[in-house]
Amino acid sequence: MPFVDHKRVLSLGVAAFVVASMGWTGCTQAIRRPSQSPPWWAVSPAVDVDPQTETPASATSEMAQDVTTEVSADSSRSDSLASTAASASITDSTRLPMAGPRIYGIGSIKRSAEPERPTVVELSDDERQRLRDAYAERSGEDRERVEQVNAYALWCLERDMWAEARTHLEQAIARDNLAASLHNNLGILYERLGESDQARLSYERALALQPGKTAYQSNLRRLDEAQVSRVQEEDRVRRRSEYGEDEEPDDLLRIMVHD
Amino acid sequence: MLPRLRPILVLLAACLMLPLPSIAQDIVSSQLRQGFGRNKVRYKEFDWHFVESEHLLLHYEPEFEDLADRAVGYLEDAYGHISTIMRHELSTKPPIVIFKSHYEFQQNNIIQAFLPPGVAGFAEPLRYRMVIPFNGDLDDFNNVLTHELMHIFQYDVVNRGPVRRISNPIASPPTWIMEGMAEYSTQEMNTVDEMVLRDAVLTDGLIPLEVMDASWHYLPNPFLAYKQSHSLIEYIADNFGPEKVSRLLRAWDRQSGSDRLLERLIDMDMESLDERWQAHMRKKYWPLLQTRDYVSEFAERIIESDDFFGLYTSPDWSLGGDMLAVLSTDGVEQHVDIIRISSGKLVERVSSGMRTRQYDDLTFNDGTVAWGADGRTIAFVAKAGPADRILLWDLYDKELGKAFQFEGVEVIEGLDFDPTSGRLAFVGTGYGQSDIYVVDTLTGELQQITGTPQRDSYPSFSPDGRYLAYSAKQGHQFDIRAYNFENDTVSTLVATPTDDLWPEWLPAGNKILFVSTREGINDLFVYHLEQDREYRLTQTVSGIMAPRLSPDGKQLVMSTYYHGRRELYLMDMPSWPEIRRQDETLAARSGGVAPVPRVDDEFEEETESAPTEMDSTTTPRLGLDEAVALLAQKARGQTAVKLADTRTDLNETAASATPPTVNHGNPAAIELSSFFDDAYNVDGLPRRRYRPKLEFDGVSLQMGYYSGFLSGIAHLSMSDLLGNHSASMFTDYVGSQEISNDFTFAVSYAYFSRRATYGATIFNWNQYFNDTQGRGPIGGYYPVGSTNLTQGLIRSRQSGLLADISYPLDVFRRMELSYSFVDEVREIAWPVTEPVEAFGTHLVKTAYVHDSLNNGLLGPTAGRRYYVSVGRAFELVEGDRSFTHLEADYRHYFRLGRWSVLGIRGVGMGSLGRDGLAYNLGGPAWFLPFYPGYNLNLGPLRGYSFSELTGSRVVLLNSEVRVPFIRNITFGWPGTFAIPAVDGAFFVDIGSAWNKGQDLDLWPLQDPLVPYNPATDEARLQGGMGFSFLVYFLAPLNFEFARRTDFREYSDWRMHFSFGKAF
Repeated sequence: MPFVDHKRVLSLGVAAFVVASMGWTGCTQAIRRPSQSPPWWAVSPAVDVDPQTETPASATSEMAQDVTTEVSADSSRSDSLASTAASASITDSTRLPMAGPRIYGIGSIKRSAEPERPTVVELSDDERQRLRDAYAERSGEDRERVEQVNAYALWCLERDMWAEARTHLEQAIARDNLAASLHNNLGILYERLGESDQARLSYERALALQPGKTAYQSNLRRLDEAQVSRVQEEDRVRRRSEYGEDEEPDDLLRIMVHD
Repeated sequence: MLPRLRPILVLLAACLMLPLPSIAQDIVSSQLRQGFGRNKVRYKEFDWHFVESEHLLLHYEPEFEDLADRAVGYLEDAYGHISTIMRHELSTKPPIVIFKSHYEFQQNNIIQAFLPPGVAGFAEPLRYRMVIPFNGDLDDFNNVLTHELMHIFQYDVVNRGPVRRISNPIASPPTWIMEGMAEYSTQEMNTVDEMVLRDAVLTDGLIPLEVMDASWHYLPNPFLAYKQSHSLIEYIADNFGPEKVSRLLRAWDRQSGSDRLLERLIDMDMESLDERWQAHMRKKYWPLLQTRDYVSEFAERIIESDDFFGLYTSPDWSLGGDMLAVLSTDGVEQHVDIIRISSGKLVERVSSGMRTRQYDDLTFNDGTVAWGADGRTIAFVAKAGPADRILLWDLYDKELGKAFQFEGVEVIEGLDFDPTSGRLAFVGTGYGQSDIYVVDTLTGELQQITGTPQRDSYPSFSPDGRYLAYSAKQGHQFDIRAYNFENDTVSTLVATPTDDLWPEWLPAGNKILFVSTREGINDLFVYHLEQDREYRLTQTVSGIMAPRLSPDGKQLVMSTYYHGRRELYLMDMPSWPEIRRQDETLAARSGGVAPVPRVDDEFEEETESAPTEMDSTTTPRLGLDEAVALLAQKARGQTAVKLADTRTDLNETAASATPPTVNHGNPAAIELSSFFDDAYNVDGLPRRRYRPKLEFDGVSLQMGYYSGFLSGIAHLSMSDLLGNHSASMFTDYVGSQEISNDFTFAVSYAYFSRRATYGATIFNWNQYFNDTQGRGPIGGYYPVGSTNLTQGLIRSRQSGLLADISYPLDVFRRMELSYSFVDEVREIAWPVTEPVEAFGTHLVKTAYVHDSLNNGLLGPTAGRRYYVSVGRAFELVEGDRSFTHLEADYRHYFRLGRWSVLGIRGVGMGSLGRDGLAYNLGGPAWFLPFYPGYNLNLGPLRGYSFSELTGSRVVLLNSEVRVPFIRNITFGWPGTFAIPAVDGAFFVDIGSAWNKGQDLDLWPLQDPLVPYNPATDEARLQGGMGFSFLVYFLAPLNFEFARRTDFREYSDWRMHFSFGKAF
């Protein structure tokens, strides 16, 4: 029957039409939605390793009490949309403080009119064990959030928005300072902005959390080498002022890491 | 009227009014034609009542009876005011319909067309109906009511009563006179009106009066045109006497042109009036330049673009201060964008691909974008269905998260995030009033903060989240107040005789940045809470709107109006000592004396301190129970209070971990101050439920004679006052030497009161053709009057019934279902009466239609539309036609740059079965009015004669790149006229039509140099390509030049002319 033939042909036509329209939609989405993954050159093969596999560390119960007190003050300052929703899985007692007069574990920044060079204290085995346990207790959502912040920071840096990246990394660390990659990436940012002391402290914190990480070690080593020569430092600042924000993302971005 | 029926009736009416050769109309094929178009969705079944006062009938719903009472008061006051101006009493009581929001106003049936957000109301001359929505501000509401009532007076003066006719031209004076008078009847210009007019004067951007007079509807800046018209009428009243205002219309009634009208009235022509008025305006505004600054002198423009149609508004800062989230439009599409502050360049398009999936349209108001304190959440507002919703977009994931929609809250604006939590404050309009709410975006809990009948706007959280500052209207001006979340108290912070708007807390929490309209111009001020005094920060020429402080408080972004458009500027926020110095400097410049600070005179450094407890006068408040009790017993019109807080449902559209709840225990700030001390007394006015009653919209009568045929045509249109029921009737009595007593009619009825619309038509339709034994172009016949008469006169009589249902799924999508019964008899009517054939058609057709296009004057500019249509003609009795109809049409328009567009279209159609219909292909898409019926031309195949190809199967592919040549050009000779758009286009068309039994050869295409006989040759695809000029002059005119081609050989050029928008 001719009718049957045409029905089949038209059915195929309708199907092709539907597929085509879906294809258009898909193409449109694919074109418009930028990739959320960082470019290949920005992804380091090294990622944060679960502390369970690293050197054991230790922490005292007194420290835990101190940290709890410190964090409760801190959390009231950094409360936000996401933090309120997702902070339940990170126990306050395992947070590391980022500011304050006392030195906890991996060091702190002293706030004074004349900032001193921050110091980093090596973690004891117990302390490291405690960190390891805390890190292991983190939920997948927490880990994902760290990854999101790192990805967003990189997204900002690719667009030369340094203040934006810095603010988000600092905010993320204020909420969860167990992620070494956040410290490392913030260190890169500080270094790029010429804040060497802050950069050093961030690298050292990252290393304290993951001592064996070669990326962090090389970052710290490079910073030290850079600071050896004042002339080199001035030259770097001069070059930065020459190129300004139009400068392409430099090699520092190559060593940003992700959880 | 149903979308399916309306074209038929319009076409029938058009055919009736045209000479007889063009009346050929096949009802079945008309029913098979599928239309596009966005849907007017009636989400709500309204419960209408009306109240009759001394001069008017006002229709309303009981749920906002308070608002209706106020409207009656406003209108009666306006009636007295306008009556004095016009020295006229209305001949009839105008029926007025008010809606409690713009979105409900969009559902009105009095005007069937879609009403965009910019339409604040309308008045129509046929029956004097006024339709007005409440926008959340009673003063604005009053102004719109007064404005539209003036239009009713104008209609009454000019037309001497409701028009009630639909074919004769309605007398209409120039729009600048009509709108200028209407604006003149309202209160004086506000600061935004002045801002626009002042900018035009200072930047030499005034619209010449002659241009306004000749081409009002194509002006690029209609808002300025309104304000200029207002000012012109005011100038005439001030300089030539207020009585001239009313005489404008009376004198016009006897004159034909604006020049002669003005010469008669004020003894000068338009050019002279324009010169004098412009001189007056320059004298008024130019002195301001001596004491005031341009915003560009102290701030930096963010978007360095001269695109007139580009607009960026509603900015909010990113956490780090590098970016802004803004609402943007380029004149074609609207988006939520993230832009880089330093360059103004687009960083990320937040709303990409969301329209039609997530919302209907973005809500383009101030403060409808906010950036969360977590730095990753961007909230914006869009209309989805009957009301606005708040959408949360995650910057990290680059995708939408939650969405909130609140029952009863229809319009949302003024978003502001709590810096310390996930709370989001917003202004919600619903229940006939506009209030401030706070929603917890984590839990969905909603809390109503204010509950006054007057407008509350611009909420702003304090840095510690304990207070919410906002602008509250008291009487007729805005003051700044603060709501204390801890103890539910409200304090007045800034109260001056002018408007105090857009409060923004400085980071220290003890100062508020705000805009005030001192001296009639919006400027920035800082209010120090502890010192209880204010400091002026700017003294501008253009004015400042919507300032937004960066998270660190060191910069602010704001809007100003400059060179005819709104622009974003970035300004460094002065330190506290600089603020004080600036205040003194500006005071000294103005010749005033700087106010002496109450506290120490040192320029102390700012310290972080908690906001002090505000001890200003606390507004009287009621608890929820007291307020509800009060509502129950209050006398109508005495206490204008509405407790929107008493509702309970919160509809969170996205899944949430915690079920949303509504806070019922905090009905804060419910005020009982008298808003209408001298309100019109509405007590005792008769109130009744609205009963639909059909009345004539208009009547048209026409007589015609053509080629021996005498035709008498009548067109009657009826509807009830709200347009829910619509009935139309067309009749055509045809008589000639050969034919007598031939009565043609079509009667239709449509019902619009519900979401699904229903329609039915019965008809008896006679048409006449010269009998050419099937060789003519119209259904096998030639039209009457042609020279091809061979046998006699053929009469085609079609009678039957059409029934349609259309159900809109949303604004863009709908389902249609129709049933058509057509009984057709063809007979030789002259010289003998002899039957030729008779058959019936029972056609059931359904269609799914999607249309999300952005339309320009000459054609679509972006988006897509498509439909799938399936129909079946059933053979119920022997002789009935039997066929199956399948059709799909898909069109996608890709933007190429700002204005250019690539249009792609694919059509496939088949009319299958024993009695399959013949479709046509060839020539331009539209060739009306020459071939309106019996011709199913599916679209442009340019390079070919009109309908050159015929077949029951058709495929067609069109592609066209349209490029703008001219936008808005005004000619001064001959006469002043405008051509708003001229485009050029390059196109390629490929298609073919063939019949059952033929095989279609897809490649190669038909050689254009080889004659093609579709009846004998193998069916091949045909190609055509060329270029065209598209000109909009009163209507889209298409001049197309095309050649047939198989992409190897080309035929000669062929020119097509047609009307209508490009496909």
